[in-house]
Amino acid sequence: MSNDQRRAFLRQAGLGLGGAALGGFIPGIGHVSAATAAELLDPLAPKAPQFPAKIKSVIWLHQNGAPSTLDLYDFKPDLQKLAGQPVPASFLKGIKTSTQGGVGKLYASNQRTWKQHGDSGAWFSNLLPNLATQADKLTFIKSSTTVGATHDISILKLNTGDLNPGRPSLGAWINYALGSANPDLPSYVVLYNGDREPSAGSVNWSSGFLPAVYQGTAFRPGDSPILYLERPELRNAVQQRTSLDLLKRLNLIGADRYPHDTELKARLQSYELADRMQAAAPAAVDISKESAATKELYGLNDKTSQSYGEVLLRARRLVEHGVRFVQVVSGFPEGVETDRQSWDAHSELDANHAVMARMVDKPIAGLLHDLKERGLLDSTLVVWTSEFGRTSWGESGTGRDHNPWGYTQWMAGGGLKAGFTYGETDEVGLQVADKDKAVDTYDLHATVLHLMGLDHLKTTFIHNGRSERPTVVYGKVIKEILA
Amino acid sequence: MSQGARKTLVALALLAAVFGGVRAADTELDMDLMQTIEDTNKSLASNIATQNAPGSTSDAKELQALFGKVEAHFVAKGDAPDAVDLSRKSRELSEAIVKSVASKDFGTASDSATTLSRTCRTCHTFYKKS
Repeated sequence: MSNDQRRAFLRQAGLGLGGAALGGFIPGIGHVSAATAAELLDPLAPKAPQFPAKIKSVIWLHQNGAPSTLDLYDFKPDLQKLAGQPVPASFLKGIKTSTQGGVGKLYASNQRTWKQHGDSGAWFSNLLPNLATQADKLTFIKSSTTVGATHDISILKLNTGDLNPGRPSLGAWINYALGSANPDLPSYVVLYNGDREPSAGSVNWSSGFLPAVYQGTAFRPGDSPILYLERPELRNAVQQRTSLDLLKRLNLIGADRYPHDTELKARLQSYELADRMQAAAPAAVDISKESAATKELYGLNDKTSQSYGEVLLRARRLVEHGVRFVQVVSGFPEGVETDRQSWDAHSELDANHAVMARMVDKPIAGLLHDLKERGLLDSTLVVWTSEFGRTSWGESGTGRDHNPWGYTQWMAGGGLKAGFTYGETDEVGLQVADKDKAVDTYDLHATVLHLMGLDHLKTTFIHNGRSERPTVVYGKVIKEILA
Repeated sequence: MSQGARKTLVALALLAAVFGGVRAADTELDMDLMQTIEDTNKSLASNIATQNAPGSTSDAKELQALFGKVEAHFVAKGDAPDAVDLSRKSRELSEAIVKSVASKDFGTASDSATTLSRTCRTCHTFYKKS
């Protein structure tokens, strides 16, 4: 290369880079394809549902550690009568009871009292006095089943439908299928309370084999849910915008050369989203301006329920701002000293559930009431779910072991029969009574997708030459609970 | 016993041993077979979703044959009526999928395939690798 040629190259390169932001021309590369650029810049563009949707958003309340629904919703007089006796063999038929603690004697707490509530007459224990007032908004699924394994594995199945990492979470599928309803916020947000991230990890809001842009975005609890959201004082908005424009152009070069690099696409999207979020997110997550009455409604005036209440209040605000899927993982209240910071009561269930139920009871009741008052419950689906339930027999004398054979979950919101119960467990609450009514994780996912206007069989993505769907090879919409 | 009669007895015993071995092999149910069923079932779901008729038919026919083996195993094993019923149901569902695909009814084929997968899960609630 001669000196003249070298100077010409440098001049063109300098001008080219400077003008790239305007012209889309990159020296040595040429024009960036408009179609490619548009696709790269907006993989989250809103997409129409496959049929009219009943709801716009989902608030997925994962009760981490697996509560004993036998002590919350599933009243079993026979269990109380038979407490202290061995489990009759007839109740164990057809299940492998290789749970950690073995099969102990049937257990019922003497601290539990039960009452029916609302016009629906739904049973609630004394652990959930506030949620009981919302009984007629709930659609119970008392025939839930899953695969019983360790918490982390069953949590993975709850969120992604598989026992191994690698598949997209339900929120990621919805994000992929419907895109974003608010370009200034992540359309899939993960919230949690307590002083640590959920132990089962970010694989539970992963996009799996879907492009990385569809994964969930975790917001921290507390006053600053998004780290480094504020722009540094030394940089003004124009400087930041100019830097981002240059960065985008450079990244587009890489993206054009490596069109299958979804991590790069996600990074491109996240830089832009982060820029827009600096304006939009503080308002969306700021709960300081909520009224004193609203804060009390969500239990913010009680130390035990405060952190979970803040998270649910934030969830409502995110839904108001068009976020499609808010995944809330229950943590633990601040200032309570214990080794077990979840619902996982293998021992001392009374003490554990007293704290955990108090943590979630008022906030969830408040959320349901608040959504209804604001006219949002018709367009929002609240799902109360867990990785499995707990056994009818006792463990360690005062706790319960894991039960994947029959437990309760509930949903509330648009498109459902409110004040309705589907399915039941046997007389001691161990197994689903009618196996044809068993609702597995896949069926729950298929139903949520249906309410979002998506057919789980037609929501597909080609991965490794194979058409994949959210429900793997399973899933049936629970038509009996639809309004 | 004469020498001729002894030879006949030995020959019969050998035949019984050989055919007994073949019968046991026919009804043997190993993890490879179950893995093949799982893989073929996933392939079937994909082929139905993409409306690939030849692929769907091939997978469904293979499943039909595999569930035939499972059914034979549990019939021979005895004392497993649930497994016999469920493997028979799976074989019949595979057959129904072949028919649905032949009439280009992929919606019904998809429903049958989902029911087939649920049947697998139901069976494995009772029967697990020990």
